[in-house]
Amino acid sequence: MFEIATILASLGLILATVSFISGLQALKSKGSADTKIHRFNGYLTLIIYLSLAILSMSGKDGIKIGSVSAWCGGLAIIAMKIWIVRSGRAYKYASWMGIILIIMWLIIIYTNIQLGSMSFLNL
Amino acid sequence: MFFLGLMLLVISNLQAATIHVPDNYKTIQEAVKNASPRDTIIVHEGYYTENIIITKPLTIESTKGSDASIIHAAVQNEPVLKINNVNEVSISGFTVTGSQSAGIYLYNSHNGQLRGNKVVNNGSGIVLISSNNNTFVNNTANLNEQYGIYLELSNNNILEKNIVNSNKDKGIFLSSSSYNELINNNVNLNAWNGITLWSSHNNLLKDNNILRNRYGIVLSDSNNNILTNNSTWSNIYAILPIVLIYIGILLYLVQKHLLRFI
Repeated sequence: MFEIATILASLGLILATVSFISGLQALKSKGSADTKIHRFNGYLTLIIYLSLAILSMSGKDGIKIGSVSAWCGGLAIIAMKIWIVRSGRAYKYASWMGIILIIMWLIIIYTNIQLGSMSFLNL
Repeated sequence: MFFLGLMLLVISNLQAATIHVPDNYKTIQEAVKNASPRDTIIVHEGYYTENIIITKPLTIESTKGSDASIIHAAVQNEPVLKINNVNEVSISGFTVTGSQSAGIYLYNSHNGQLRGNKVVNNGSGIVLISSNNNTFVNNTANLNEQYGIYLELSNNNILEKNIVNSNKDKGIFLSSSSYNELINNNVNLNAWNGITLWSSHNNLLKDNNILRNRYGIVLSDSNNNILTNNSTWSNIYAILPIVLIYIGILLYLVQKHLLRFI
């Protein structure tokens, strides 16, 4: 009944939410528990993102430029967010990057609910 | 000997011929015009700009499928393929596009078959008026300005495994059409209704996916229709992300409490 892309995208949004909240808490309290939760869920989210991207590329319509650029754009946002947090130089922008990541997952969800095969991300 | 020769001549004339486009005729319409009833027209890959009117029973098929054989309307306010007052026309494996009227239009035509055609970016995709006992299988009717598939005063037709997505009005519209079977079709993301039955009775809608339309299945002034095992989650996409974010918040709290015990 459910498409694999729908399930993966749903899991991605759940974990991205966990990562976002724990990230905000970690910024406030510098607590190690929140940092662990943030990292663990963040990396799981990244794996799901990459799985969705691979699923997209191996779709029946083949690789499309629009699809590849959308996925690469998302990956660039993720990389920038990690760099911002790790560098410490632009730490105050980390929460904004987190919000952008949540919006990104909302877009993935909206384009993949049960109709993955025809979304613009080519899933 | 004379009679034997005459019989052979008659039999050879009765046998259906195979015509190749563009080898025998440059355009499909030219091939149709010169074909005898029950001939087969084989269309090789290419981009054909024409409006085709079919008034005799013919089989028209492409060699390499719908992506390689594209028919674009030459006159935009006429249908690309018009099947007019004829029985047993079969069309398979074309992309039909560019008409502000209809991609494939059947008027008073019966026992026909449409298989594996892509009818995209027209006024309406496939239109049947007073046409009965036709079979449509594995066609795609996407991105049309009005309806994907429209049946009016048309009965006993079978629509199976068709994809009818992203049309700017309704997906499949049955108007005063009865005893039709809509089985295993995908009707998604249409601007208004997925499947509409208006003054249409005794139709069978079975195993269809009707997702993310404004309304899923709409029945108006229609009786004795059978609807079984159709999926219609039209509006779940509005609720699902909110539910998922809520689950995320709960999962965060669970993880935080779990870490305290570790």
